[in-house]
Amino acid sequence: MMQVLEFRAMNTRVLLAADGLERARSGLWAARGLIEGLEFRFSRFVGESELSQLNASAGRWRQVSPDLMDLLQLSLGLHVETGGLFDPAILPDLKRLGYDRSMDELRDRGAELPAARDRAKQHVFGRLEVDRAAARVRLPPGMEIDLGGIAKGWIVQKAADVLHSYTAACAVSAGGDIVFKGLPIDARYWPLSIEDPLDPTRSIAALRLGPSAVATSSVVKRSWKQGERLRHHLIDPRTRESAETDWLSVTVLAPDMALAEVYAKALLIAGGLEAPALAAQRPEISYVAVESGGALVASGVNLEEIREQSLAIAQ
Amino acid sequence: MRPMRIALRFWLAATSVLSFLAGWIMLAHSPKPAHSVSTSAGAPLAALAPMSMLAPLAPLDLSGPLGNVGVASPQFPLQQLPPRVSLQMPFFSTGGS
Repeated sequence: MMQVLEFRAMNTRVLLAADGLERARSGLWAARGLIEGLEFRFSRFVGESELSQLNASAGRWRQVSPDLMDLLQLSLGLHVETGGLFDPAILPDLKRLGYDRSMDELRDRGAELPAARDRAKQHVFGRLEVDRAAARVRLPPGMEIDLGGIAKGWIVQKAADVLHSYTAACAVSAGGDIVFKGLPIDARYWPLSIEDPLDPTRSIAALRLGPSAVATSSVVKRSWKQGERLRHHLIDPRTRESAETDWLSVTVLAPDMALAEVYAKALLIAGGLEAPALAAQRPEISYVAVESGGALVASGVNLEEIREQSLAIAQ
Repeated sequence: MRPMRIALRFWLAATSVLSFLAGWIMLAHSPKPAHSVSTSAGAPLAALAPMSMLAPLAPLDLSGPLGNVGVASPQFPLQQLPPRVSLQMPFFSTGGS
């Protein structure tokens, strides 16, 4: 028996599912409480959030909570591992390209024309200084960071861990970031559909998954016009512009949500030429990418199997 | 006067005892007060009256110097819908952020 709880948080639809009855129900409330308690702490759009206060104190050492310290250290490790393709310090460039307000506002009112680049604000995340023993960090002057995706993934993972302590099988989904824990008693897999990036009402592939974490990055979903140019939210740290990639979206399957989230971004920015080498350094991850022409590219996932499963589920 | 006094005492004692017994009998036969629905009664789950449930309070984070800065925000109204029981697997899809 599956208990399902749906609500809005982190600016998206959240779905929690847990196998069982009373205890599962308690777990759902506990997981929801955790998500609602954490969702605004790492948002750059909330002026009093811990992240906004850290950004405002660039140039000075600042005490941070253990949660933010964990998140920053995790981000630093993955920044190095992805050769800098994952870089939370691209926030000034994201703002310059128009993403200085929520996506809803941006779509309603459009973006202002880009300001000139401010070299003093162009940093790489690796320059962040961390003093773990004293629980403090220092951003170089002008550095601003955006932990949007990885923070969401980190919260989803935490919520799934909490929910899993109440039930043997559960899932937490937040806007396409999904963690599956255990397997439902009456099913041998978790069904997952990958949306067509050009038509989200259409499924482009269907997978049957065991316990895992899933994240998808797309250059289509969060896009806007700035003057005559089409922008999207995935900034290539090498060019400081919206990434020019031959892929429309990448779905990554990984044992951990933060890993799935970061690699989905980095592989999409890397594109078809560089992505295979980048993914090869993490044998535990698999991915399915959609090329700009609509074809599927996969690694660690059997494409024939995906097609058969898609057909079986469609029937 | 004396027989009257004895009769009055007897009457008062008798009516008190009878009134007490009548009250006892009425209470014993009156309907029981409604209790909250018990799931151990063996009733099918779909037949149970839905209980209104409060969402848990957001946990306090006092571990860091910033405390629970930004934990609460009035931006989104809380939806207090209780979890629903589903016999089918929920539909999971991923399309990116």
